[in-house]
Amino acid sequence: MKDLIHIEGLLHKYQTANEEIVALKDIDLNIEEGEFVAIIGHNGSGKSTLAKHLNALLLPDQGRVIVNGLDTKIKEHLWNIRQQVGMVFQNPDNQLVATTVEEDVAFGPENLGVDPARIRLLVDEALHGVGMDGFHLRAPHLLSGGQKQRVAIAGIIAMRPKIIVLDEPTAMLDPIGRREVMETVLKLNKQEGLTVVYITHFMEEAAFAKRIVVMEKGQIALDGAPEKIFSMVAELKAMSLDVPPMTELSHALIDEGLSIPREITTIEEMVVALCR
Amino acid sequence: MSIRLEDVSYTYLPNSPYECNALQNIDIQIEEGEFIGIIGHTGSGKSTLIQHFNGLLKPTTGRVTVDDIDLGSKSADLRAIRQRVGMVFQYPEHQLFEETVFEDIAYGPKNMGLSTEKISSMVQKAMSTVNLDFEKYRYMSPFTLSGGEKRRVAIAGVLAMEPKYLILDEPTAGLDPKGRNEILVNIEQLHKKEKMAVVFVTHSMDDIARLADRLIVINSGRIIFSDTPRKVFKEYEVLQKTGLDIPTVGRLMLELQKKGWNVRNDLLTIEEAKNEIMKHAREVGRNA
Repeated sequence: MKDLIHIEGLLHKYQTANEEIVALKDIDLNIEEGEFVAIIGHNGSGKSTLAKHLNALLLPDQGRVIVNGLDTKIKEHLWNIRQQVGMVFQNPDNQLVATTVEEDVAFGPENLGVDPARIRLLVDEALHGVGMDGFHLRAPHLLSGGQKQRVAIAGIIAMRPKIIVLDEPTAMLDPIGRREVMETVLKLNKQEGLTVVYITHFMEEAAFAKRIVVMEKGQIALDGAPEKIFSMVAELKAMSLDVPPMTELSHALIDEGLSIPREITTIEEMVVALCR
Repeated sequence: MSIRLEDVSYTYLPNSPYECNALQNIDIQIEEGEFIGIIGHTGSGKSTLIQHFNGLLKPTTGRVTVDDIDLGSKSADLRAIRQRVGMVFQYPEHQLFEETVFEDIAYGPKNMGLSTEKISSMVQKAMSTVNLDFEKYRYMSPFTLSGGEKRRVAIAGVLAMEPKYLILDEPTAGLDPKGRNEILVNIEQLHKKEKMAVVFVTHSMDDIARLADRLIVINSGRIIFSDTPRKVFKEYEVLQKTGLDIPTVGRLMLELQKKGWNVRNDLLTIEEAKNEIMKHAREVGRNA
């Protein structure tokens, strides 16, 4: 597999009125095509700043960010990079622009100058991909939170990106909305091979990723499979983080003398372990 | 003494093409010292409902009273009511505006026309409740703080008015696990130590299962359940149909039942789940 994202020695500084704040430092990160990477870290650890480097919304003060072979610092690459790396943010209401769902999803491809007949196809496929067939003519502002986020995701995938970056996409959603978004993202990753970078504060959501990157003070503190990351309970708590509920339960059961693996992170894994 | 809603209905934009019945025939009584959770999917009417508790919205029909004061009567002193019923909105840190943490928290008490000493002691007390060290934070700009700290400053601003009832609309949304826990612990202590009545609107079934004495479930502007968390979370089929869910441990138990385990599914905490699983394990003779 080739690296879709290649970051080396990334440094990012903010200038405030009286001081310079280092938001990202010494970041080396490679993400391969088809990966599902969750990024966790406390508020202010640098997660969102890092995400904004992935599609050249921010540019490195030092180091390089290469997206599918394109250096984000080179201005001519900008639109190409933005088309390849789609972003979804926390608040669905800030991302919807049109009066119907289909116009909203068509907004991206229209701006790329795609032929109208092709746009129709892209919109239909994108809405199908997020499980929103038949919602074409609905008004986006009247949808539920989960549906709005899925329309936002459809608007991204209609541009046929290589990577989708989601920055806390479920923070404002109700439980079913959260599940709808999570299932949609998992499906796009598995079935369409879309590369996913998923920023979240919900440890149980991060558990669904194949790999977790933990940010702390603008640096990458840990990087590995969920089973490995969530076995480091003390380290995570020291970084204001936690483990998913099922990991906590598995540790409690082991303390009671039950022999199950320590690395359980999801309900599914817990059921398998208990029913062996 | 209590907050009471009697047959309250609320219609947005009445007599227009966009007319919308946001609340219908709501009866609620919130007693002093209670901890109530309000759950419902996005758009179910939760935020509209809580804005009736301190007179920010007036019911289209029906009556709201706070400690027997009718909020609809001309003589009702809404300023005094809003001091008694403190409201923490979603993302309250967006409302921070002063230059220092102290000034921001002092804004409410200052408007109550209190003495400088009294204001200072109220701010100190509010800061200590949310675990913000007075000397360390008082001169800091709220805008240099972390997300969790900002949120606690905003909550302290409401607590400084010493409300009897505290209403919080999704107070932990967007916070990291530690920030979330800190706020939950603060609220739990306010309830336990200060006997403050708490109304907590949330999308986190795991948190509210553990915290609330009573759970009110809103769907399409109506109350569909009002009972203990344990009884409400038994209704998982209805809850899932209305965009909600049951706590993680309850979902685990349902899956285990499908595998033929004889376990309860009305569990609320990790501790309870552990005990139920160990009980089953002993019954079937499984051990280490």
